[in-house]
Amino acid sequence: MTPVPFRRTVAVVVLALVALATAPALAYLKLGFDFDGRRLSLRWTRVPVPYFVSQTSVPGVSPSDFQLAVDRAFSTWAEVPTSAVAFEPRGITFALPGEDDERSTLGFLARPDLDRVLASTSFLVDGVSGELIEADIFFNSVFPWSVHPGGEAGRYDLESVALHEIGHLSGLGHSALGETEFSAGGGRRVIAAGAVMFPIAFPAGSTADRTLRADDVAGISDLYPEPGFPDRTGSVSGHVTKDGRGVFGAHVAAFHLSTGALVGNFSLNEDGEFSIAGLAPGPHVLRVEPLDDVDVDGFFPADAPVTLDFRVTYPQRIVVVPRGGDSGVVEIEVVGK
Amino acid sequence: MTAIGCAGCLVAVAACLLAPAGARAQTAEGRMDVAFGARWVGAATLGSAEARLTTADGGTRVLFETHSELTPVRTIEAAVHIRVARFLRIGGSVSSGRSRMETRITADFEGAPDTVVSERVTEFAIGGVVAADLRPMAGARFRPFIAAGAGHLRHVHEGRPLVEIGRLYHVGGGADYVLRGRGGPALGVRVDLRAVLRSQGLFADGGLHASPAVAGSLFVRF
Repeated sequence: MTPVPFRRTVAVVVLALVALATAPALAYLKLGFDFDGRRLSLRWTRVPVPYFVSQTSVPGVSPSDFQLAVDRAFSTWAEVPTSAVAFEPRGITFALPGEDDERSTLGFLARPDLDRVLASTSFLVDGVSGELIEADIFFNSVFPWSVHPGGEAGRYDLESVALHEIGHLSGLGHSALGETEFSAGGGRRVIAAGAVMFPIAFPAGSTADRTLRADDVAGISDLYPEPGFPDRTGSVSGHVTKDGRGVFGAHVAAFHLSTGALVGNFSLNEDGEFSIAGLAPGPHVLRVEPLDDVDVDGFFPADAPVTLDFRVTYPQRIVVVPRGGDSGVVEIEVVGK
Repeated sequence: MTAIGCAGCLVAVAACLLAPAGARAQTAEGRMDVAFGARWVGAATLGSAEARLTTADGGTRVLFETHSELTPVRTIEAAVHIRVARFLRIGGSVSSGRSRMETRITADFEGAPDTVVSERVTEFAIGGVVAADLRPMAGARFRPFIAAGAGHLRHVHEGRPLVEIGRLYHVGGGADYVLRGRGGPALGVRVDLRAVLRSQGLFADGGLHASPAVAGSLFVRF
């Protein structure tokens, strides 16, 4: 029986306290942690980021197949022209992902207990300096995998899932650009997604997530900007309110009317403040919706006061993103369903 | 240099080369005129777009659609024409006017009602024109002409966060009617009708977007 759908989650293994951060007020939903009384983003301070590939395999995926597939996924992120992120393959290791060996390792592990998790990324942070030391990715070998160029029916595409997890390894959180529906067997089925970093995988056989979308590119470029990127792009910021009070966790998507790029973020505090950075200059339409297509805990801590009871809303003004600046505060009032 | 810039240069060069002929041709039509007036330029489509999400098979689903247009622009305009031949004038103009960029949002995936969002836009234009006078009528007081020109366009968004640069071309015709012309500068009224083609600026698809335009102005002819 093919178990669908599956959620890819970010497991967090740390020396310091690490949590899915509501992160800095500006920019993308990033992974972060509280350290020494401060909220820090999980971000590599030195690039290229070295990584190792575990000497593991599953039926249909040999160790060399695995290495080639993850190398391609790393290259896809590294080739984003507006981002300075880079990775360095250090070869094959006999270590397994999850071992605290100060080596970022990718490999298969059998985790039948995680029956909805295709893959997961964990982090090791220096408890003294707060520096990110290691990020491991395991792919759950209880599921069928494929590295076939065109995908294989009934098997999950390793490169697609690796691309998502490497986004986490780089420090990106989940994107909510996507639409889902409840499936007959429980859980959710993805109808369509606007980002590789959408938390729910496409069904087995799909290779659609081998390609980054505008939201992914903006996120990685914001986290690791090429010189000049902040000057060539701009941001939108504002407040989402309901009945005069700030809304936490409203998903705001900015759509560029000329390029068609769709980039999203959340209102990230109780005043309903949001900011979307790394946008191409020009006129944008904003769309605000509640986080009701995915489980909230894939984005925010369980106790976060996320508001879900409001309708999809389009603010009445076109928002123009300047080059190297911010749109100015956009006030968005939403109403209950 | 853009094509518009080149067109402006050609007009300027033509003015220099033809000035002596213009001097010989100076007659009751006058050597130069200065005009001030208003112009209305019709709406133009800015195109449609789809906010697309990717499906499992690599296809797309539309999150919502947009259909944008630039509403009619009402501008004030100043123009100078120099006669370079008996039936030929060249000149330049500057104009400024307000408009709105309006976007209609439809087909929301989650059924949100259709809505229209907008912002104010100021359009500045500077350009050159070549006008050929036709046979005068009504005792030379009424003189139709045909004209064509090109120019440089600037769309300034509300609050000036961004200036977008474009081009405009126009072709059309009109008529000058001299109200008072004896002894000294002549005073007259000019009406013209144009097809205006705008490109780039807010028209980000790179194509030419046509709009009708009509103008009326007062001119003083020297």
